[in-house]
Amino acid sequence: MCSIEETLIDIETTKSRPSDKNCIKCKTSRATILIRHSTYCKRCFQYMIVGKFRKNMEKYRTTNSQIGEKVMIGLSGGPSSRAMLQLLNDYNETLPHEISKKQLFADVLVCHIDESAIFDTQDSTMDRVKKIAQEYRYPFVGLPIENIFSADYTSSGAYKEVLNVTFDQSKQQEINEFVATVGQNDGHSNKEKLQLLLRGISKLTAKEDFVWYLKQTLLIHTARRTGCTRLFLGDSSTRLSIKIISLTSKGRGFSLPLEISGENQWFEDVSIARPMKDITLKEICIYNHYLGFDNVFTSSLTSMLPPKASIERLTEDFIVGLEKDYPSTVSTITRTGSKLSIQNSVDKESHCMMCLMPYQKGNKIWKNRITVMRTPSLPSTKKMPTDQNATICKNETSSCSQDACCSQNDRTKFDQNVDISDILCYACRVNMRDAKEIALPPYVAEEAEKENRRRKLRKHIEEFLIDDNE
Amino acid sequence: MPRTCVICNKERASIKRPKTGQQVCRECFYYVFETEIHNTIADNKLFSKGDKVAIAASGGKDSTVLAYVMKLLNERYQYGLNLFLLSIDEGITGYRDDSLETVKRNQQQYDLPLKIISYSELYGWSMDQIVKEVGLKNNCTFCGVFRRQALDRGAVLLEVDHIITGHNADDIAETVLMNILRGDIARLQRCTEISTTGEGCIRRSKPFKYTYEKEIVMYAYFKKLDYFSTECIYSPNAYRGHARTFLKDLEVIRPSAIIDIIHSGEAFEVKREVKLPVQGVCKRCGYMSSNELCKACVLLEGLNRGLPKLGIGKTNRMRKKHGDMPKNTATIPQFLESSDEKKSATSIVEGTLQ
Repeated sequence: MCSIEETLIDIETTKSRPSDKNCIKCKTSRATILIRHSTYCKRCFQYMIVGKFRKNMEKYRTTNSQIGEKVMIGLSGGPSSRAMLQLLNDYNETLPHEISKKQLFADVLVCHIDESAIFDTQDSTMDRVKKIAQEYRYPFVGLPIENIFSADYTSSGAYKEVLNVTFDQSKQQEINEFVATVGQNDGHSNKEKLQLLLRGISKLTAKEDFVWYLKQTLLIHTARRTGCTRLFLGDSSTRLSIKIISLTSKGRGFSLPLEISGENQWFEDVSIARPMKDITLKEICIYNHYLGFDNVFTSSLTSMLPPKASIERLTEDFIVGLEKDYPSTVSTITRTGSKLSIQNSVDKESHCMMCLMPYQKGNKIWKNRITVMRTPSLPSTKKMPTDQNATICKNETSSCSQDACCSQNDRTKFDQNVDISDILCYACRVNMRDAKEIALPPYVAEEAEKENRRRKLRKHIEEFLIDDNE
Repeated sequence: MPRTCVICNKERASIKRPKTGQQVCRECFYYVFETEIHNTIADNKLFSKGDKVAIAASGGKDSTVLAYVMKLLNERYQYGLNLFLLSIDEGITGYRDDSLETVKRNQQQYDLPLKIISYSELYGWSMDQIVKEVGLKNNCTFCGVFRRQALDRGAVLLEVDHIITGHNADDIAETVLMNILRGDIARLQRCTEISTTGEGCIRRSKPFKYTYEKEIVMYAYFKKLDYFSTECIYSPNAYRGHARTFLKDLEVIRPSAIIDIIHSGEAFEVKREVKLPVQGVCKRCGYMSSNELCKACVLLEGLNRGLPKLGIGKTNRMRKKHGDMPKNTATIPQFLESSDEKKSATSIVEGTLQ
């Protein structure tokens, strides 16, 4: 199709190799590095990287940071977070002659999440990453990813139960047909629970998505518990451009601006910052090479698999391939992404119980209208939503019609149905379709229960609320 | 073991629905396919009773199914629309001449009035001539820009209120990706809107916004609709090709990806501080444009002055070098000026308006 909206893409068909062999910055030293169309010598290159990093750090300084902040660095051991650690250390260091310079960060904590439980066979990455952190004499917090099943990583810090979600097999053709109950969190070790959870999800795309949000939750909670007000993540521009496309493809457009932003305050007390966002992965690797850094190899769910293994993996392949032929791909995508913002109407209270990101209300209805699943001869299409709700929140409807039932529900906490149909974001809902029978970690159960309680309360006072739409 | 349809639980399933993976029978497939389009039309209040609506018909699968379904839904749900077929003759030998034959047959089959408007009459250049001049690179730009205007001009001649096009969910998802890839923030925001309206411009909608391309083909195949299925002989843009391959791969991994991308696209909001181009009117022909001159006028000027590159890339630099347009150069007739001009424009348009 040659689209009506096709515009021109100015593509240099002949890749011109610069004829000048000297560095374009200092013009004196011989160039050794070629980045897109520019040549650099080693010194000017390093200077450029430091400059890009500092530019972002200065922004944080001016926006809302106080002097003497306590911050946390997420260190996976990959090239980007490795370089970030070095750059941040240099930035925060006060040399003896710089008496007037105030240290920006009073305390720096390094946090690593060990994902080896996911693969079972892989060796733990903990010790090797810990060694790196010790080189800088920073306190190190190492967390196995399965810790997400511990009550420590919930808002209250003491919520123990899990959320059992089952997918009604007899109605597998329906979207959103799941039943959720709060259940006891025992029997298995945390590691086994994580493995069971992942085994219950059939597609790699959904698994990868889950794993990332579990990690993010762990990081946020750890930062909170240790009193850090800022979390540094090492996303490079290459990584961010891949994320922009993959988040879009997974239906996460609504929360995308938050998930790729250089700085955001979505988690109020802990802000997330990405100071590496303007540096490409290639530049980072050269930088690391000059400093003689080794990477800690961390495998992912799709390592060694073909590109079509998952959306994330396919997108990576797509962007890296495009960047080779059209070297402005990454920068164009990140520039587009940076122009997007989260909608003003977004309400901090309404976040998805899984990914904790904002969600759009009414996304289920949206989908039911454009993907019709029934014909009117059977339980009619119009009737379907009520039908569906009846099976999911049987308890809720009955409990609210009879007061006696309500109190009964509070007593029997377990095996109580929780209505989760409206507290999932669109993308997590899509993910859930690939799950059969899973037990979600305590933080999800806590969110779900909290929201259910809020709704019940709301029902009691509903007639006194003034709706803007009226 | 033959499976039964998961929707009616009676008939044998013969289709695996691309959108959901459900195994359904033909009748149920028709039902959900048509109902989803009806829901899209109803929820977005696309039409009002008595509207005159032109279906942009190319003779390809999308527009053929669109014409068929629109006629069907119009009768089934009593939209009360007056439907027309509107075709553009780009002048591509071995492609458009054949597909126009299909449109003419459709006109008979569906009993709808047809109007054909041609590039050579509107612009003085057929696509064949343009390709001779500019080569195979960038020719799609000419074709795309010219078609957009030609459709609007055709709609004015037909005196319709509304144009509907056969853009499907795949096309829109691909456009969302393309606009991110080339950094076109203004279009990124616009491209998922189901209807576009501008000042002095005819409303244009995409009823197939949530309809999968594969299901359109399926529908056309089972309903034995008469459509033309050859790719354009002038090859399409290579960069867009990458995006399309990527989208098809995504669909293999997760069939809902196409809808998911549209969902993302609809949620995108541009930061307040980002400057967006302001829509105005072309000084030369009166068509809507975000620049002083609309793209079609610049491209046409380039063709007429023997400078085909004028509208491609560095227009200002070319202008400095070659000067402004000489007085006697042919231009596009004024858009929506007076009824006089409308008449004179009618005279140059061939077609079988019944």
